[in-house]
Amino acid sequence: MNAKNNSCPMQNENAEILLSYCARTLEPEQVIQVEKHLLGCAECREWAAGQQAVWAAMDTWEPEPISADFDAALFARIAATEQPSAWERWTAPVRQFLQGGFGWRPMLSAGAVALTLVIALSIENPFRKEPPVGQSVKLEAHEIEQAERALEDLEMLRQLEAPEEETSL
Amino acid sequence: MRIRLLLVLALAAADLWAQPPMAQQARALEKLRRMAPEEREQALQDMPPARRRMMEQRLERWNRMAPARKQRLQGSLENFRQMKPEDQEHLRGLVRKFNETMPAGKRVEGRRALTHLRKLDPEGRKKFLGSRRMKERFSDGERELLDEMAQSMPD
Repeated sequence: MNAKNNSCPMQNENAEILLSYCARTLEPEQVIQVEKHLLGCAECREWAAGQQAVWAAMDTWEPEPISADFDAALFARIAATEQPSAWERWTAPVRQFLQGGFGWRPMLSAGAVALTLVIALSIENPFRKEPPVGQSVKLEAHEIEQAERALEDLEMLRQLEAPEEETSL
Repeated sequence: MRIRLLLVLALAAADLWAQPPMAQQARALEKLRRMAPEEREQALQDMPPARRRMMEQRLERWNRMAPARKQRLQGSLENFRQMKPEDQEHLRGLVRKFNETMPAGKRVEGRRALTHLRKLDPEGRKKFLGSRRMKERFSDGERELLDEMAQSMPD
């Protein structure tokens, strides 16, 4: 490595070797070569001096002392951040759905359960009370037709039964 | 993809939401049965008089039926509704023919024969219809009609 030849790290944009020199991670042979170059190259010498000043400053830097409960307080804050609120937990599938994620699956399951319950209760509602006979009931025109058809077919099926089966009438 | 899935689900829900015809008919009949007489009269006032009278008679008969018989007939109606529409119509036609062509005095015995025929397999039906007693009571056409009715009736 010579200051006047093409092996100058700064001219070849190869500052890594100078960085390693300043970080004291070079092999002894390389250190000798770099130091020989620095004697004859003002630019590299200046650059290396700047780097060494940074390293020196870092060596003398003393971190601020931390409090005794620093770790405990830090872990508590991390836990608080990672624990979603109840609202966030409940709305997570909706937010995932809106963001195009796969959050629709739990929503779909919940929706299907709700729909099944609604349908089941609308068809066979054990809590629905039939109005007593004679109480006001509205009958639509199509319901009259349905009742008429049912009565007609029941009458036909009644006629097909053996007379012995007629326990009343 | 998601929209298509939701659309399919919505259609399936709509299909489920619609009550089956049998349940609709049973509900309509029950509503009609529970109406106050004056309300029923008002509800049926637009019907042609003969049709209305027929419906009122049938409803009255239905109301007077024993619960066990009602239950049995409702079961038969459910089975009847599960038949194909053309088969339902065919059976209606056969019953009309039975009522129109069978002399009134023979109908009671015809119904008894029909009940018995329904319990038999094809071979047993053939034997029963070919028996001397059946031949003495019913004409060829009447026996054919009874056989066809027995085969067409729901369980």
